[in-house]
Order: sequence, then structure tokens, then C-alpha cells
Amino acid sequence: MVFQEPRLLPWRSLAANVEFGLPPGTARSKGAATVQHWLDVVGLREFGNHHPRQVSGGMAQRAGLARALARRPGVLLLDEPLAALDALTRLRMQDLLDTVQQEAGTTTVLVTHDVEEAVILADRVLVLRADATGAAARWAR
Amino acid sequence: MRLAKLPVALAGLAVPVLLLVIWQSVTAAGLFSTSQLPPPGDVVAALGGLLRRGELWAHLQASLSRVSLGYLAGAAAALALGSLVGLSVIVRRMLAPTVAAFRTVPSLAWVPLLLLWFGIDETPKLLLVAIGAFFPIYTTTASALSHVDAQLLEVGRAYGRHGASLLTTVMLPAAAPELVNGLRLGLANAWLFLVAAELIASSKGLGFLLIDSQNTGRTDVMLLAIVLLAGLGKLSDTALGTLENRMVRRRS
Repeated sequence: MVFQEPRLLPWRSLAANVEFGLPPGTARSKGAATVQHWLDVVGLREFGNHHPRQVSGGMAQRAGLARALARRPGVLLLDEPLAALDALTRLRMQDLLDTVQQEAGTTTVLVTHDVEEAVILADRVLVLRADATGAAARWAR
Repeated sequence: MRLAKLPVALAGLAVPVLLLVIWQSVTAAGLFSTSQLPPPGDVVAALGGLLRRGELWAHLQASLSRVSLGYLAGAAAALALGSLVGLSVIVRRMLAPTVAAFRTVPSLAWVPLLLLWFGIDETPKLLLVAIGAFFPIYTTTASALSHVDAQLLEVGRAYGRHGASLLTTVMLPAAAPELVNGLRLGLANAWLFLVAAELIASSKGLGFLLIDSQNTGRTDVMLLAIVLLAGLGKLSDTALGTLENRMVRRRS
């Protein structure tokens, strides 16, 4: 899962945060290789030893994404992961999400208030709206 | 030079040096008798005498081993019980009132009971120091763990951590600066309880030196024991304080 804020563990380096996401029982050597792979995919290879306080919000969010992907989830949940980012960083992250999702091939559920973002990134868009009778949902395409 | 620009270490020495100057001036002026307040030189001479006779190391060793062992035992129990209370709301509601009540018992109130149960050997002394260390560490640990950032807990649970694994991988590291602060408070209390402990049929230690010097009218030795207790307490506190500062700096 990727949250709206990076929610990295502040006492761990970026690499150690990604390692935190590994499936239980992962062998150390394989785990190290997996961590480096996903840091590379999100463009943070040189920042593995940095701590969250030493990187920008966008970089921290990318590390959060790498952590989620290191888990090899069946379904990747993204809860407004770009909402807290500035416009330029958000555009870059949208490209990255698209690339990463194709690389991982994982079913991804993206929650967003940004209609344009949903249309750009998603294969299918589900519109949720609360009305007087409760929540209503409609597939947009 | 502005006072604010003084290096921290120098600024910390200013008050002790001032007190030393006042002490020397007051004794040189003859405002107090030697038995009431001996001059600093007599205290230094008392130190020299204890060193020459080889007695000082025996007293220091006895006190340091009691503080170390008692503190480690008290800290281990406090961290374990504090972790349990911090993890579980039910355990907290059951244990917290009882522990809070015992926390208010003064150190000397434990002495008769410990003597009755454990005799006059090292055991009651170590237990008393452990009791002194226990309460501040337990209180800080329980409080810190029950106030860990809920967002970090959610991250831990989202990545499959629960119970003991959540405690060790998220809660304890998140609360580490507060835990170390609790360990500092526990260590300071351990030194306080040490003096009470060494009143229990002791023949060695800085606490014994205090009482023995009172009985023999050696105010210089009494002051020396107090200075040594203050110095050792400060040194051990500085070590933990440095660790605490490093932890805080790494996260901010």
C-alpha cells in the first residue's frame, strides 16, 4: 500500500525502508537484490543510504512506492499517493507510476480526486459518489 | 565575549568553578569551623589518603557494581512490563493503577521489608537499586509506546507486523528517544537509591563512606563521597544523554 504521505520509518534509511516491505522469510541476499532493483526502478539507486529527512517529499514518496512493490503484492493499493506533491513532481510521478505498473504487472487500485490523473493512468475508472441514499458507483469506461 | 557564544562545556563549568571559589573564600575567612566545612584542600587530601591506602577503589567498585547490576535488572523489568502495558489497553488498565500506587513509596520504606525477606547481604541492596531504576523507566516506556504515531503503526500493520513483531520493528524504534530519556531518569534514581541501599549493613561503597565519615567526624571524607557520587552520576548521565541526542538528531 502507498499512502498519501510517504510514511517512511524515520530511523531507517530509504533502502532499509524498502527492505521493510519485503515478504517475510526473504533470504538476505535475495532481499538486498530486490531492494536495489526497486530503488533503481524509482530512480533512487544513489540515495539508498539517505534517511527520509535528507530527501524531498517526491523522493520519499518514490521510496514508499518501492517499498510497496518490494512486497510483490497481488494488488497494489495507492491511496492518493500524489496529492501532497507539487505539480511538476506529480507529473513525474504519474509517468513513474505508469512505468512501474507495467514493469510489475500488478493489479493496481489508485484512489484519486484528480479526474485527469485517473483517466491518464487507469485502464478502468470507477467513480464513487455519496448521495442521500449512501454511496453510488459507476464505471466510467 | 557574549555568554551565549561560550562553548557548551565551558559554560557548564562556570557554576562549579564559582562554587569552588566561594567555598575556598568562605573557609579561608574562617566563617565555618573545619568540622562543619573543611576547605577544598582537605577534601583533596582525603582523596589522596584513600588512594594511598588503596581503599577508594574498593568503595568505588562496590558502588559501581551495585548500581550497574541493580540498574540493569530494574531497567530490564521496566522495559518488559512497560512494553506489555504499551501494547495492550487491557493490561494497561489492569496494571497501571497498582504500579502508580507503588511508585509513590519512598526508597527507605522498602528497607525493612527487604532486610526481613533477604537478609543483609548484597541481594537487598541490588533489589533496592533495581526498584529505584524501575519506576521512571516503566512510566516512560508505557507512555511512549502508547503514544507512538498512529500512522507508523498503520504502516507496520499494512506490511504484516503484529504483536511482538510490531513492537520490535516499529513501536520500540519509534519511541527510542523517549525510552532513552526514561533510562536516564532511571539511572539518576538508581544512584539515589544506591545511598539508601548502602545504609543496609554495608562495609564498602560510597554510601557506606558517607555514614562512616559521619560517625568518625570526617566531614572532608563526607564531602568527598558526595562529590564522587555527583561526578559518577553526571558521567553516566552524560553517556546516555549523548545517545539520546544522537537519536533525536538522526530523526529531525
